[in-house]
Order: sequence, then structure tokens, then C-alpha cells
Amino acid sequence: MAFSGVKKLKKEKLSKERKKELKLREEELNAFGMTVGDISTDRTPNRFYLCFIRALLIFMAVFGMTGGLVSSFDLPFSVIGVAAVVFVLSLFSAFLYYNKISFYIGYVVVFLGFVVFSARGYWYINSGYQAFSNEVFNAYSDYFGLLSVREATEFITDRYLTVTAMMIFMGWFFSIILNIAISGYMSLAATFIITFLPLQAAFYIDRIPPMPYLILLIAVYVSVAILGRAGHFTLPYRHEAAEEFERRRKRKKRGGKQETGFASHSYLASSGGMMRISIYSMIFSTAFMLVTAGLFSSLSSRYVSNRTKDLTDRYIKAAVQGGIYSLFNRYQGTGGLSEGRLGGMGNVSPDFNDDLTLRFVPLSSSTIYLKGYEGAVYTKDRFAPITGKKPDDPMMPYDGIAAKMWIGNIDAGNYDFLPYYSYYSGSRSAASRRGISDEMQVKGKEAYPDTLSMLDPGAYREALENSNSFKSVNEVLYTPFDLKAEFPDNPEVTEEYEDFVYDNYLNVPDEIAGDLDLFLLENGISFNNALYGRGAYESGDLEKEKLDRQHTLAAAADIYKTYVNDFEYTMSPGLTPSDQDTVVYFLTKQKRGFCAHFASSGALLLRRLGIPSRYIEGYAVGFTDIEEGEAADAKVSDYLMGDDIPDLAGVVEVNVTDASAHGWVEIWLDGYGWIPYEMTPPSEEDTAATSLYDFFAGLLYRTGRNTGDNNRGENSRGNVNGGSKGNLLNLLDSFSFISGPLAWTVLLFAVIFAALRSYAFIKKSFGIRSKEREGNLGEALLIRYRSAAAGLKRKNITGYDNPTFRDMQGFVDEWISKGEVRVEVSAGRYVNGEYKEYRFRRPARRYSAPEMDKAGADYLFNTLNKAAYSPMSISTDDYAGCIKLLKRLKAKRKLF
Amino acid sequence: MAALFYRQPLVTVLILLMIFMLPFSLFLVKYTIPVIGIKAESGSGAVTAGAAAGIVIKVSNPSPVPMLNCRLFFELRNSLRGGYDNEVVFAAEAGKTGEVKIPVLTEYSGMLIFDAKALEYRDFLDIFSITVPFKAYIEIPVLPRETLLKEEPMLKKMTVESDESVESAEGELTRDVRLVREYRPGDRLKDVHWKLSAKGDDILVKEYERNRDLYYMLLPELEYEYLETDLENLYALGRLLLSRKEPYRVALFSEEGLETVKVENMEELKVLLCRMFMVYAGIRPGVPSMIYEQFKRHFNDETAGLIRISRGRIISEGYREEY
Repeated sequence: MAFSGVKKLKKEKLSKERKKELKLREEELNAFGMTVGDISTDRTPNRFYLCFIRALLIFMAVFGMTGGLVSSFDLPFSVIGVAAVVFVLSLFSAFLYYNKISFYIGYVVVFLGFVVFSARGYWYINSGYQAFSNEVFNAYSDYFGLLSVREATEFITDRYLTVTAMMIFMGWFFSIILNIAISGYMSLAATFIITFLPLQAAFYIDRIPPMPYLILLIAVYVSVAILGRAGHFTLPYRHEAAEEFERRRKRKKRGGKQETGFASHSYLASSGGMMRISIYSMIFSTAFMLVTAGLFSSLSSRYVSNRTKDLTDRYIKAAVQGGIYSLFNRYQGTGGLSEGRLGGMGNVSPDFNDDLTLRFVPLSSSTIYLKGYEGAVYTKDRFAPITGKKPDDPMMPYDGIAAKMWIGNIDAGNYDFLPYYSYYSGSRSAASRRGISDEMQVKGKEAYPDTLSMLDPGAYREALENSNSFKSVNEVLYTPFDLKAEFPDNPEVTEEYEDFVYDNYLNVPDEIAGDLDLFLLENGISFNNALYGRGAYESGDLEKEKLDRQHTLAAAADIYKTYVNDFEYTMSPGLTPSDQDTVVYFLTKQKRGFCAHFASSGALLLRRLGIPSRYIEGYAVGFTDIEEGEAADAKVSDYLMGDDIPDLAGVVEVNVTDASAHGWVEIWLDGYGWIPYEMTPPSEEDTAATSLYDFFAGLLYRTGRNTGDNNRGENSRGNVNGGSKGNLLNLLDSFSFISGPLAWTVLLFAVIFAALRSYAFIKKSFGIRSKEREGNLGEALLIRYRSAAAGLKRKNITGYDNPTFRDMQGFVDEWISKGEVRVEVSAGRYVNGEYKEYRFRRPARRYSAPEMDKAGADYLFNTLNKAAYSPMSISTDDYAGCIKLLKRLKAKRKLF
Repeated sequence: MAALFYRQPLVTVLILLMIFMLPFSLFLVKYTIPVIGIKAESGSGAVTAGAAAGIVIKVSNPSPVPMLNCRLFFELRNSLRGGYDNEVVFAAEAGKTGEVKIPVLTEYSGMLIFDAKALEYRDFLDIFSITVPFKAYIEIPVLPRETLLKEEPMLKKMTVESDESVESAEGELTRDVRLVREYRPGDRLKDVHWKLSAKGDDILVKEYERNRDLYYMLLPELEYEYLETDLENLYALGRLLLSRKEPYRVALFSEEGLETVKVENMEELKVLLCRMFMVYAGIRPGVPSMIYEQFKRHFNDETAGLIRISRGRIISEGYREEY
């Protein structure tokens, strides 16, 4: 047996590790006169098989995780379709590690394929993800008993199709990630984290994935653990081509004497060993899961509460309701008031619990504003109230109707939430009358004495106030506000009060005044202070006052229009950076927000125009809330008094949730008083993504709270929840949208695979052509000879690894003289170190002698010898002649 | 348990799996070890320095359980120059027989020794290891390079006692019978001249002559710093003499003392070299050779004709020439 020791490599292919190894060998040769060479085995490494097994592991992990997760939430999808596509993708990913060429080129192909698939299937993937999100949120809402239901828009409603597309998308993504974890490092930790964490979405609420998926996952964990710990997964291509064994070296002292070397050679993976481990893992995990299946039902049925669990439940609920970003809000934002704090809430997530209960008579479909918090002084991130005593707002003129409202505070903030314009509270306790001062009470009583008859008897009030259902109860009388085109003069507005208003409600910080002015200028918003501002006309000039108010409202309307056109309402605008002013950031960069953003910026813009305004928080009770209320068993006359009471008026009891918490602006109308003004535009539909980032972000972006309104139903099959699987044609037809990218991907994969398999052939042909072009016919001939000799070696016809010409010539001569050669098949094997013969022996294979005579063989090998020593001296005729002879030097099996 | 595992049945199952896997893995290893056959053999015969020798580890595992981490600890050393420890990790694939080929590149001559010490099997989780004794001792001679002497030395033979001398009660004897005398107590039975004794009444014994031969005597005075050169010179000179059909002796000094080894053909030369590799295994750098002094003492300074191989030179005592 000949030991070559060092496999010949071209010098330029030596890697750093290889050079280091050769250098160490040289040192050992000098020191000890000997060194270990390139260890090898008698097996033939099968890269293809090795990559295939890795692909299998990747597939099991990806399909186990995605299939298990989606199945946990009872979403429909094509199991066979997803399995087939994920398997192909896993194959593609695993074969990226086949060799260096596939590694570098393959990733480019993977990325392009991913982009193409995402582009073609954008809406399907998006809708699939939204469907999955909706089911998850529904499940969490049911589990925790949450009232809020976040719903995303599914543009395509055929869930069978969209969920399948989404799973293919996620499968593609995870197969790439898991390829690195499994093929690259065979890391159990990484594989476990990547596949186990997403499943928590199901496990947390006791949803158990179907057993087959769990079996796949457990099998992967066991396989990866064993193969990773054994180091039994790497391919030789990551080392020099010669090295089948990986080596590590250390020097250690032996017995205190001179240092001696220590070399450890570790065996690289064998595909057969890997396949066995994978199969055994599958069998083992199946058996294990069947035995322990009972644990799933017994554990999941027992609810256990503890402090840790309750804490995480709280965060989970907040995240489910408000999204992940709600966890980063700088202050509480589960609906309700933020007390003037701005910019620190990236996401508003109402819990839809009742905050107030109202009982009143609605007069129109207009929104009823219940004022709670008033902000006057603006800093970078807050609209704070005026400290110290301030005068009461002027009493508002009677408009022909007085009304009464019962307001029960269940879970709202500790403010008096009063409708516009409250003037009297019938509540017994002074504390309940906080929102209405004693002076105002007296004035109201004097101004509208008849309306006091609407108040309920003391005993009733007392009973209600003592009720455990409410934190506090308030009974108020008010003159209902309605936004009109014209407002009459209000004699209650004094000059002193107007001075107070202009002194306190026009302030804007100097550092942002310029930005506000620029915004007003750019958007063409103005107010002619010279004509209509304070002091521009004489007091008592009613005509000018009327114009003043009209222009004031017009300016406010201009600001509102700008918001409608250029800004976007959203409950998830993101946080304001801590170094930025909230209003300036909103107006110049963010351009999206919720009511607090619009109200605070609107108030400041109005102030900059010279119009006093203030920032208000409270509750806005819309007509839909009123419609959802219940008719109360009460007389209208107990709640409404005056002229023009609508015929169909009725007393309603309305529960107001924290979703109705709102912010708006109060504008000062000269000569009239404060009026509430809505600055928040209505929400709009999302637009399609434009940038590449938006493209991928948009794939998974939730499109808002409204359900069903925006369903476009493109390609919809009318199956809302995808219940119909249809026949094969429908199934195939349903994949027509991905047929293009899928076919392209499969074709590319096939081309690359074929190219890899024929790499050796291509390399040889290229080498031969190159030498021929150079005129180096000797080298070209030697390449052909080596290929022919390798062919004979593969069939075990010759036993030579690197035969000399003399050896080969001797063999060929003998072959020609005998007319055939017999190749014996192995007769036995080693068992416990002893050779044992098989019971049944397979017959030897016989190969016919090549079609040449001895003279021809002599001529061939003489020419080869000449080519070895003097490659450039081979003539064209000799070259052509030898090619013909080499073509005959092939093994033809003799069957008879 | 549910509180501890936070309502996570899959985590519970995984932990149970980990607990179960440990003894199961150990059990599989213990079951498989007795049926695995591992054998170490020489993959090549004697080699020349500069060529590659080889060790073959034959592995057979008839069981269905693959052993992925079999670790063989062995020492590899050159008898004249030392060596180092090695460890090779290989897989005993299930139901298969295979070979692991360990080529050993050589640079200097000596006896290449493969000394396996132990075999360690690790379980699937790479947590437990079971070490079993494994003895395999392989010697592969690495002969010096076949060099040619720069010039042919002028050599003289040395007069040395014949190998065929036989010891008798009176001293060293040769085959040549000097006289036949009467038996004295203490004479050996093999010295009895039976033919003549049968003819007479007395027992007669043979008394031998001392004999002397003349042949080339080579004395390799090996020192660590010149080891390879001296061995090459010895080998070259030995081959030269054999090519002239001149047998010769080589003097070796071992623990038992002086020994002269006769070399009459290439095979004997190679055997001699192998013996030298082991005899001089204790040679250390910086220690000068005292062999010549010992030789002179043994032969009472009668060293005319001795051919010394020392410090890269061939010194012919007869001609006082150095080559």
C-alpha cells in the first residue's frame, strides 16, 4: 500500500491554515525526523448526500415551527404545498454549503428569489400575516378577556391562499437563518431559540400545536444536539481539499522535559452517520412524544397564578392591545388622559373598559365634548395648567335649551368631566362640584332658576353618589354647545377677563416661534391681526366683532384643512425623540399622530396667529357611542328644558370607554367666550409602500383598527376564512401567482445543481482547451490520461491511486494479453477485528481489454512519458493519435 | 411542576427528554463498545528516509449504533530522536468496516514506533467517556537514504577472531583441533572424541586451536549531531562492500557489551540497521561517543584496519586516511 502523505495541491490554493500546517510539519520533521501527514479513510465523501441530510434537518425545523404555530391558531393552509416548497427551499439553502462557488453565488440567487417572490406575492403575504395577527389577537383577547380587539385589514380574504403564501415567505426566511445555525454551526442553542421562541405565541395561551409538528421539532433538537456535540457535520470543502480530517495542535510538556507536540485529528462528517442519527432521532422523538403526550393536556388544563406570571401577563396584554411599541411608552397610554404630556407615547392602546357612564338627552349628531384637563402653558413636551388662582370662564349665553347630564366616573381620571357649558351642579358634596366654582353656581342659579327643577331629588342623588359602581357621580346642568357660523355677543365677557385671556393664552416659547411661523407661511395660513386682532377695532363694534369671529374660525379651519391634507391620523405614530420639541417634530418631520398631537400643535399655531387658545383633554362622545347606548327609563323633561326640543328626543345611558378619551382645542372668540374646536382629522386608509424598507416593512405592517371596511377583495374567492380546499385544479390554480417565481427558483436550483455535478467535467474540459490553445499539447494529453486512469480506478479495475506510467503500462499490457480483467467483489468484512466471509459471494466483474494492441499501448505510454518530461515537444499528430488511444482505454463490462 | 415550568408543557417534555437522554446515551455506548473491533497495523514495510510510512487503523462496527467519537491515543516516535503524542478521532460507522490511514512522513532514519495507549469512546452527547486499554505496538524501520560515497575509501581489513571459535575449558578454541588427550573432569561431553574413544579403553577429548580471520570491521561511532550523516555513510559503505562481494563486520556496543555483527548481504545490512536504531535509542544531543575508546580497550589497542564512521567521516585506521 502506498502512502503519499501529502496530497498535491496547487501552490496558489494554499489557505492560511494549510500553510501553517505545512510549516508545523516541517518543524516536526526537523525535530523528530517524522510527522503525521494527511490522514484519510477508505470511504468516499459524499457531499451531495451530506447537504441533503442537512436540508432534511432544516426542513424539519422550519416546517415544524411554522406549521405548528399556524396550526395552533386553526388557520387553514395547504400542508402539502407548504411542505413541498419549504423542502425545496431547505434543499437550496443547504446546498449553498456544497462548495465555495455555490456559497457565494447561491446567496445572491437566494436574495433575488426572495425579493421577486415578495414582490409578486406582496398582498397575499401581507394579508396572510394580517390574518395570522388577527387570529392571534382574537385568541389572546378571548384568553385574557380583553375587550379591545385589534384587527388588521386583510386585503385578500381567501385565508387558505394568503396564509399559505405567508408561510412560504416565513419558511424562506427561516430556512436561510436556520441554514446558518445547522449547516454552518450545528448549534442546538441557535436552532432552539429560532424555532422555540415563535411557538411561545401559542404556548403562552395554552394552545398546543398538533403532535406531528412537535415530533419534527424534537427530532431536530435531538439530531442537532448529537451531531453538534460530536462535531460531526462539517464538510471538507471548508478545509483544503486534501484534508478529510480537521486538525488541532497544541504543545505540551511531558514530564517536565522539553515540549512535545500534540496533534489532534478530528474526523469530518460522514453522510451515512448523519442519516442514521437523523432517522434514530425521528423514531426516538416519536416514541417519546407519544409516551409524554398526556403531559400536554394535563399541564395546560391547570391554570396557575403567581406573581411572575401576573407580571408577564400584564405586559403581554399591553403588547397585544397596543403593539410592541406600547411597551416603550414613556408614560401610561392605555386610553384616558395624559394630563398634557406630549410625545412620550409611541402607541395609544385603549383597553375599551368603561370609564364613564352618562345619562342625558342627545340633541344632535354632533360630538359631545366632556372637558377634563386644561393646558395653558407649553414647554417642550407638556401643556401644563395655569398654576394659582384663575378667574372663572364667563358664563355662556342661553341658547333656548338647558340640559342636565348625570356623569358617573367609573375608571376615568380624577377630573370633573363636564359638558359645554356647565353652569350648575346638583351634587351634594362640594368635592363633586370641583369643575364648577361656587361663584359660577350662584350665577347659574340666578340666571336659569327654572332649570333647577330638572335636578333629581336629594335621596336619589345620595343613593347614586354612594353607589359602589362609581368613583364619583356628578349631576350637572348645562347649556348645550353647538358650533355655529355666527356667535352672538356675550355680555358676560368682561374686559378684565379678556385681558387675562390675552395675557395667558397667547404664549409660545421663543425657540419654536420661528418654526411655527414658517409652517404657517408655507401652508398659507394667516390671520389679519391688523383688522381683526385685539385692539384693531373699537369695543362694541358688533360688525367688526362678527367678522373677527368669522376670520378666527376661518383661520382655525385652515389649520384643520392642512392637517387633513398633509397629515395622517394614527394611534401608533412612534415616540418623539427626547431632544426634539414635540410640536415642531410633529409639524415638520413626523406628520402623523393622534389627537394630542393635533390639538397641541393647533393651539400653538392659533396662538402664533394672535388667537388665544388652550389645549384640552377629556372625552369626546360621538354619535356612534350614543347609538350604542341604551334608552334610559327616564323622562325627557327631567333632562331637557327649553324651546325647540326635538320630538324624538329620549334619555339615553351611554357608557364611555377610554377609547373616547380625546384632545381638542378651545379657541377664544372675542366678545363671546371659549368654544371647543376639533383639530384632529379623521383616519385614512394606508397607502402602498414605496421605499425598499417600506416594501418589506409594509409586508407585515398592520393597516389599522377598522375591520372589513377596507377589504378590497382582489382575487377573492368569496371564502372569508378559506374553508374550501377545492379540487386539485383549484389547488394548482390557487398557486398560479407564485408559479413564476417558484418555477424560476426551482429552475435556477436545477441549473446550479447540474453545473455543480458537471463541475469536474467542465473544469477538465476547460483545462484541456486552455492547454491546447497555448500549444502545450503535452499537458493537455496528461490531463486526458489522468481522467482515463481515474475512470479505471473508480471501477476498481486498477488499484493504483497515483500510478506511474510504468505501472499502468504493465497493467495494460497484461490486460491486453489476457483479453479481460476480473474485479473481485469483497468477500467478507471485519467483525471484532477478525475477517469473516459473506455467506453468499457476488460474482466478479469482468471487463474487456481495450481495443488496442501492444504496439499501440507502447506508443501511447512512450508518448505520455515524453509529455511528462517535455510537454511542449508533443506534435499534433502524436496528440491526435494518443487521444484516440485514450478513448479506447475504457472499461467495458463483459456480461457473458 | 406546572408553576415551575410556567404552563409550558413543551419545556417540561424537553427537560424530561434531556434527563432521559443521558442514561440512554450511556447505555448505547456501553452496548456498542464490546462489539466494535479496532485494530492497528503497519501499512507499509521498511521505508527510506524521506518517504512516507503508514499506519492503518481498521475499524469495524457490526452494530446498528454509530459511534461518532472514537478517540485513539498513541505516541509516535523515532527511536533515535523522540516523538510526541497524538490523538485521532474517527467514527465507527454502524454496520460498516472501514480504515483510517495515517501516513507518517519521514525525514531521518530510525525506528518509527507507533505505540497506541488507549481508546476512548464518547457518548452521543459528548458528556461521558469510557476509556478502554488498547495496546498496539508497531515498528517501521526508516532506513537511511541511499547515498553514494563521494570517493571510494582505501580500506584495510582487520584481524579479528573468527566467529566460529568455540569456548572450551582452557580458553577460546576454534574448530581446528590441536590435539586429542585424555578426559579430565570438567571437560564437556561435546568435546569427547567418540570415534577414537570407542576404539580404546580411555575416553579421549578434543582440544582446539584458536583461529583468526581477516575482514573489514566497521565501527559506527554515533553522536546525535551527526546521526543521519553517519548512518548514511555506514549504509553507503556497507552497500559498497556488498557490491564488491566483501562481507564485513560491524561492531555494536550495547548494554551487554561489544558485539560484532556479520553482514554478508543486503538483508543482513538492513537488519543490522534496525538493531542499531534500537540499540542507540538512548543517544542524546551533546554527548560525545566513547565507542572508539571502548573498542580499543576490548581489542588491546589492536585496531589496525578498523574503519571508523565518526562525525560525518569515514576514517580508515589502516591507512590513516579520512574520507
